[in-house]
Amino acid sequence: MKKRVFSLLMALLIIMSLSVTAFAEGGYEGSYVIDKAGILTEEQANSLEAMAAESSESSGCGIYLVIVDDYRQYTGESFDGDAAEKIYEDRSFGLGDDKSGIMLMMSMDDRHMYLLAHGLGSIALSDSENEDLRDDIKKYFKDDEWYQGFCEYIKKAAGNVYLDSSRSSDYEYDSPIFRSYKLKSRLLGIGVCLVIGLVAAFAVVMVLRAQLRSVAKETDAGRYADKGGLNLSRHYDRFTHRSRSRVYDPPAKSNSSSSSGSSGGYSGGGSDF
Amino acid sequence: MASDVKNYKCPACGGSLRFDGESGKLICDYCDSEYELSQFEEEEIVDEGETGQSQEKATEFSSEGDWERESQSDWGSDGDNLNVYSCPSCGAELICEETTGATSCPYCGNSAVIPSKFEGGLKPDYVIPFKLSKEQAVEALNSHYGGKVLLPRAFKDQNHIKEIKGVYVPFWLFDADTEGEMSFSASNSRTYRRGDYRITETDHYRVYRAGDMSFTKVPVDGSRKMPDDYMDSIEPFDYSELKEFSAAYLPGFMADKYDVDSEEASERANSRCRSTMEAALAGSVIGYQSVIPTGGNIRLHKGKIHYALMPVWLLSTKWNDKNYLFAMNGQTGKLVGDLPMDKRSFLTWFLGLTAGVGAVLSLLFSGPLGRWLMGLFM
Repeated sequence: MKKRVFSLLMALLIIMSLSVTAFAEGGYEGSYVIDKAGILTEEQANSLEAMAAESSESSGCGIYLVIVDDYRQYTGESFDGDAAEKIYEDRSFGLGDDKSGIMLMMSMDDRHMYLLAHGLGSIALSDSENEDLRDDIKKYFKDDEWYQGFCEYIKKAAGNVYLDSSRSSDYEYDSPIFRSYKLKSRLLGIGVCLVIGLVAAFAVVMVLRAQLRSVAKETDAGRYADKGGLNLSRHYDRFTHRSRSRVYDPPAKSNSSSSSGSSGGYSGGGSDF
Repeated sequence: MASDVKNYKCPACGGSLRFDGESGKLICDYCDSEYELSQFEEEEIVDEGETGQSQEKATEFSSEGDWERESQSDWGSDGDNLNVYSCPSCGAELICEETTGATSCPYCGNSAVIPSKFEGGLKPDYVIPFKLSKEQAVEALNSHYGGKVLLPRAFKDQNHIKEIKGVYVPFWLFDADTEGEMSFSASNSRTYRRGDYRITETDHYRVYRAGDMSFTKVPVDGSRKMPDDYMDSIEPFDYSELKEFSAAYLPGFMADKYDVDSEEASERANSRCRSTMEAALAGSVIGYQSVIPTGGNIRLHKGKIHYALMPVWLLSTKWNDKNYLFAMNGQTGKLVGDLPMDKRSFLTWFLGLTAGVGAVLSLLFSGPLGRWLMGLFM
């Protein structure tokens, strides 16, 4: 009996490990997350897919993640920007009439990423915001923390879309992630306003308190100085030396391989990680 | 103990005279007569007080034995600082502090001046007469309470002036010349970028300043009883109204002779002159981003010392078993005195303002501010 149970468990284990291997080899292909390099577990891929779908469908701006071994082999394009655009178009990414979307293309063999934006995504991600977002997620990728990095990417991309859209009243959002951003930003604003109020109130009550104090020792005798006050008899200002300190502070460098909008209304930038 | 008391009496009715600051005359409260001070200084229409020994006619009376005092102890060392005078009006024995130079009799209200306190070397050079009355001092105190939102309401409503007295406070006025020199290390910096480097260039200077400054009549109170900080705080007095001292200004007010001598008081005057000179020299160094004093030498040349009596109204109140003292410049009306704070009001104002300002700012700016901050943090 024990042997039968043991054999059954072993068989189950082998089947499970085979299925994971099969997932890894075949990769995951959902609507928003495509993992051709097989770096995500099924659970991770499903979780990211759900996050991206929820953010995309409620915002009207698709948030995509495409992971390939080598973008050149996968698309036949030499340049990362062209490759990203090709994937975006071939996959018919983008939501709405203007095909709005943000897509992160990961090329694992050469550890390179490209962040492409189109439509509303281009408005939400300016060149500097695009670069900032890449810098933010790069620190995860450097440690091979892929899942955490992708989660961060989806959250921040969605956040940028929210922030941008909340400045105009053309878009209305109603999803947990956007509600959360709205709530967080409102709470942050209220918190800062209260802190300003606290500081202002403290300054005012200290002034009010000072009104109650009118007795203090005098240390100055300026009002008894003769007219003209100080009579300067000798004075000089002598230059003695010049000191120079030098700090190595290179201008912020971007590893972007490209960062410009194309004729198709794309914008984007790439970095190594 | 001497009993040499000078009593300014009304030539018309014999009533006691007092100095009236508003009119600058001696007036009689009994018959409303007014007299110029000069009239008294010239004519010396004063009543030199008796020794206090009443000339009673003896009535025959005899008794046996002696009264036995329960205690034979005298004032001991406590009496060292006290003097006894006889009121020239009613003969009451007045026990005053040794420094008291003018007072009033608590029995008959008679104003009495003790000239010996202001004679010879002790005679003040100047006096600034009282210009403001007791009523004006009370009014000033009530104004002092106004507009102070943290002052307990009960303090205003419940506290009563316990005592109010006009005192000529002895002041030493110091003339001094200061000369000095100071060195400073000063610098100006600028930052610019060259290639991948941020370069900060700092130009260093040695700055030297020497000069002199004269001070006239720097006041330091010469009374230990008067808190120095109160006397400092009611400054300045208008010296253009300094009068040559005359005891005729004193009736109706208390007056003290100094018990802090000029040598001791000069330390405070020196310190004030020194710090003013240092500040003036440092203030003449301009055009630098950083100025640090590296050394200096301030010399003080002692000048004249004047002894003057300055008019001060002292008002004391009691609230919640705590005494509160107020002092008013009897010439300019400047009134000072620390007031209690209502802690509950403090908290209410603090929280109310925090909530109010926070709410208004939140309504106006929390949306865009929050988004901007979120954008910064993202």
